[in-house]
Amino acid sequence: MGLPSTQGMVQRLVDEHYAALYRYAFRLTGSATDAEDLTQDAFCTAQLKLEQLREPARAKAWLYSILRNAYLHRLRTEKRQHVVSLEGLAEVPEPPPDPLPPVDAEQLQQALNGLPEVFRTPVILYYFEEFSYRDIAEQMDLPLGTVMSRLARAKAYLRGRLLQPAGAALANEGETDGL
Amino acid sequence: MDCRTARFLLDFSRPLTKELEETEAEALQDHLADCAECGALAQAERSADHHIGMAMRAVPVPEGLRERLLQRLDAGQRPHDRRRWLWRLAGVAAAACLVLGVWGFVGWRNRPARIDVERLADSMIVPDVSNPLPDSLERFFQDQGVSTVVPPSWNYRRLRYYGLVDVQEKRVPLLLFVHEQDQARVYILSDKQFDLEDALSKQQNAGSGCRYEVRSSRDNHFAYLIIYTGDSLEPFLAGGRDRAGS
Repeated sequence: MGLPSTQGMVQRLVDEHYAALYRYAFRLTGSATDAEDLTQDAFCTAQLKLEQLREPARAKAWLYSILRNAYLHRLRTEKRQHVVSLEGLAEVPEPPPDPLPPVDAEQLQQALNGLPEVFRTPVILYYFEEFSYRDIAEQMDLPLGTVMSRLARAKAYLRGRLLQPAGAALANEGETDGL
Repeated sequence: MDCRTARFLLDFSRPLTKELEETEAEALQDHLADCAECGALAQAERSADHHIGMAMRAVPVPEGLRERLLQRLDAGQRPHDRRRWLWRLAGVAAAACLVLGVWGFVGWRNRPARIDVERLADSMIVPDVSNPLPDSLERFFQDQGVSTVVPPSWNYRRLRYYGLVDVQEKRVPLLLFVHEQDQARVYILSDKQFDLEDALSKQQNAGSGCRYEVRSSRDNHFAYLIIYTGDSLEPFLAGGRDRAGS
């Protein structure tokens, strides 16, 4: 049996990861069009650099990393960096109410859009659930402690925006926008 | 395990990412089972994570995305291959141009030059030697790094000078024969240096009261450009007679 062709390997990567990559891209950009473009860019880059993928088991992390780099490149090009700071935001979240209110998809995206990229990326990866802290640290080329700290603050921010009763959420919204 | 450690480890004990050692995970579970406050916190954390995680992943994937991706990748592959092929072609063309350029330049630099007889005829030579033999002359030039064949049938007793001179930036053996007031300069031109065919076609007066003629060597690789004064070359040739009949 011969080695799989480049085209065959790329098609397999698309089949296995395109949906997850698109979702990740959507959460990063907040736009379906940008997400599709970014996903396409990521796979094109992957196709060109396929020989760099030495461990097929690491394909998912490799693709996510490519997509994030493409996203950061776009951010730099478009100078669309968010400048929201999370200074003053508590790392330990308040216990969420029981039962939890439903999370509105648009509200979630707005909350994500309000986060600086250094917080947004780890929290998205975290909630995609299949990435461990170590995976996230590796993806972002950061020490584990830094990732933990950023995640704790980003999670607290999201919970404050999404899981608080309506009145508290509105109050938090005003607070974080000004941070 | 205390509450502080348990709450720190909570983040590492998510259902799909096993980041804790087995013993740590067991100790954490034991603590959560025993400590009502930490147990409730863990439950709330997992519930909140699950709630936000569900929303985070709830992104509808556009219909036909997979096909569009594959289509673009396929289209991108071909232009990439074409680009790579064109780059290779351009590289080969550039290398060929370079080789041709170098070859042309070297050829131009080494091309046989046309002899400028006027300049030679106007130059002055002071005789200072006498009577070497043809064989020793060729050895002499050979020692100087110039392979040549001296003209036969000349009266070498009348040779007054020999040496290498610069002719149009090329080193050329020169023989000077003197008889009474007349002299004959013989420039030995190689076909590697000069266009002998062109030189051989010139048989006319060189000016400055001189005559000249060009003769070919036996092997045709050399030409003897002879610039002389007097009526003829006869006094300079072997067996030639003096004007005075000597």
